[in-house]
Amino acid sequence: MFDFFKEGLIQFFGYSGFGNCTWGHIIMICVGLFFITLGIVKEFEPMLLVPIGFGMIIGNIPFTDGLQIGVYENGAVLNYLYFGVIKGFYPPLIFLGIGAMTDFSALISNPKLILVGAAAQFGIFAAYAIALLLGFTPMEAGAIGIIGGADGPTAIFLSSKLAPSLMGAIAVSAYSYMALVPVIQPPIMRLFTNEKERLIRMRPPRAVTHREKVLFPLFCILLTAFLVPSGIPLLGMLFFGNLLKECGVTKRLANTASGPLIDIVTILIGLTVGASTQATNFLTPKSILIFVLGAFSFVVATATGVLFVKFLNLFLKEGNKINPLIGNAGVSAVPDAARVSYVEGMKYDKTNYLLMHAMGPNVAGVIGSAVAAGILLSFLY
Amino acid sequence: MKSFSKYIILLAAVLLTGAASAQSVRDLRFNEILIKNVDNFDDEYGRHVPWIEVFNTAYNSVNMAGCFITDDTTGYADGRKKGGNIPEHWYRIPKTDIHTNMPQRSYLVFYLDAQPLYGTFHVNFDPRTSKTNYIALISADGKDLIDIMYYPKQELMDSVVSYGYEKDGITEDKAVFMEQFTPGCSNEVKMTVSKQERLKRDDPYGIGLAIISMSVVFTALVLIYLMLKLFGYSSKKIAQRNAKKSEIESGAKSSLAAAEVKEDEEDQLTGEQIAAITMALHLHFNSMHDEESEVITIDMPSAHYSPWAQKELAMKKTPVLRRK
Repeated sequence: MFDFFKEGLIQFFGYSGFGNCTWGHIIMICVGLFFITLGIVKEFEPMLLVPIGFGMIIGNIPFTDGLQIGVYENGAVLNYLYFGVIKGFYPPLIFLGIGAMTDFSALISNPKLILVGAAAQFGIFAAYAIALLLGFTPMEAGAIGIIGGADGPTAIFLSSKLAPSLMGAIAVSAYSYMALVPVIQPPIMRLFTNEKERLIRMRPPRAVTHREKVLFPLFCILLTAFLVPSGIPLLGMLFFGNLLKECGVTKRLANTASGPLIDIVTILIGLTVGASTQATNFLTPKSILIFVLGAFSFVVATATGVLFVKFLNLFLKEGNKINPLIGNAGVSAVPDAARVSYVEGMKYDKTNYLLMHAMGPNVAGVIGSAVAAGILLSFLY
Repeated sequence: MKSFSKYIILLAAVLLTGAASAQSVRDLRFNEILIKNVDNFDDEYGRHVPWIEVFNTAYNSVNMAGCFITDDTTGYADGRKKGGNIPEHWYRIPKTDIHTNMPQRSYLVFYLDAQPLYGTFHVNFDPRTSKTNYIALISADGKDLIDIMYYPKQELMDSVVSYGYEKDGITEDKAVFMEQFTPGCSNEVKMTVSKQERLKRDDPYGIGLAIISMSVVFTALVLIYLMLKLFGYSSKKIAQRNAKKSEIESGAKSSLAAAEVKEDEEDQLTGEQIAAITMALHLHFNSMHDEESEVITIDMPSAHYSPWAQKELAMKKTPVLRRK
């Protein structure tokens, strides 16, 4: 009788999380808790970090294989939810919501800011080159480089196509750096600008008509999709969402896209990406390299954005000059990067409101990173 | 009249179905043939016999059951039922084998071994003993020649080489001796270098890709920039035109307008007044009040206001003894 109980308890212990726990699981659970803390206490991108952090905890609770529990096990509920990440249909849905939420007025009123969004994409290709040197394959390097676009959905979309095995590390890295925008960007902005440049006052944007706002997504999709058809899933949804918002007759659809739909997809994508970071797959030297390369890519993107504004200023007349503090917003972390520009600008001049101006390159960065993803896809896939 | 229309529609549907079916079988093409088979593709019995490959050029499945494969087309135009017999060298593909249904863009191999009893894909003639130098595919009714492949018989008999089309199903091109044997798969097998390998070879440091990609990103965004410039220019023009138009209209009504303007100026509200009205409206529409309608109290709620689950209040109260 005693043996029966003893064996039963041993068997039960074998099935429990305690019985299967490794140091890897504990480390990843701690990372998950850290993400949740960052999201709740520091309020760094809580909508992303809280689901991802919780997903990390779920994904790293040890279990016995074959019970259809884990995200990588066929038939498991998490596996079904993860399907949207693997097949890349969550990111376009998020882009639909982003389009329905974004006001492109700042960009329409001051078109030259769009070029800043283009310049900031250099970080992607710099990281690509370094990743190649470190021995990653071109496909893996392309997927890693996109972290510099500072766009989580784009990073997931591209890595699901080019390097599915690295997707967990790339997605977590991209979202982490997006959340850490207020920490990473200011020192770089200060490094490449002087006191005088930080005080530049920009001309207030002109009023944008309804007609311009409606025509913008239509013309943009035609121009960009013809040039980079592989970017259609992202660009198409982005501009479609924006048309729903701006046309004025599809308010309900726009509300759904920018409200419940994007919320549902954000929950699913955050949770499943977090759960995909199972210690056995995630804690590898490659993941650490990806984090390092992601940081490098992000730094280069910020620096090139700021430096490009300084370069543009060489050709602009006095009064039309751009404050280089909005150069960092060329990465597409909307609206955090723009908020960083605003906060930094306020430190040097309490009456210099850069937020509206920074939104221009910020939304241009969304378009730029989607175009860059399309190019990488057409070259590497 | 109605029933007549029904018959017409039914007839048209039947004809269309037939036409569609015939059209599908017509998409089949001979793709590759090998006669001297020494150590090449073997059949289910391990024998090395001549074979011919059929390719379905259509993007839908095609069932070739009932069709004929032959090395002698004599009499095909008269149909197979001439004299009630199928010509001797016509091999009729059985209708009972599901494998004769070819998926889109797929390949099927027939063994030319004159052993029809060996299975569905073994025909009843052998090109090595045939008097002709072609293989033909004929429709199930025996009237349509779907495809015919002529081959250099002597060369194929003497050497171990296959003969076919360089591009699958493109029978308009001249058939050639193939470099590789590809029974049951595409003839377009060439040693190709993948995109990744090419990139790694031609652009090991990623500089080329970076330059091209940044150029494309800039091109896309410069195009948008130009479009937005055009937007700005046209909206400025429209605004100017509208202003001019309203100026003309207002000129005509100047005397009336002058009086109205004077009246308006008298009625003009100050900034503070507008702010006060706006705040009042905001409070009204958002139901914000200085004094709320609810009453905050520390008194115990009476039974009337109690929640249903509060068991204590549902119980009968203890009678209170009143003393006079």
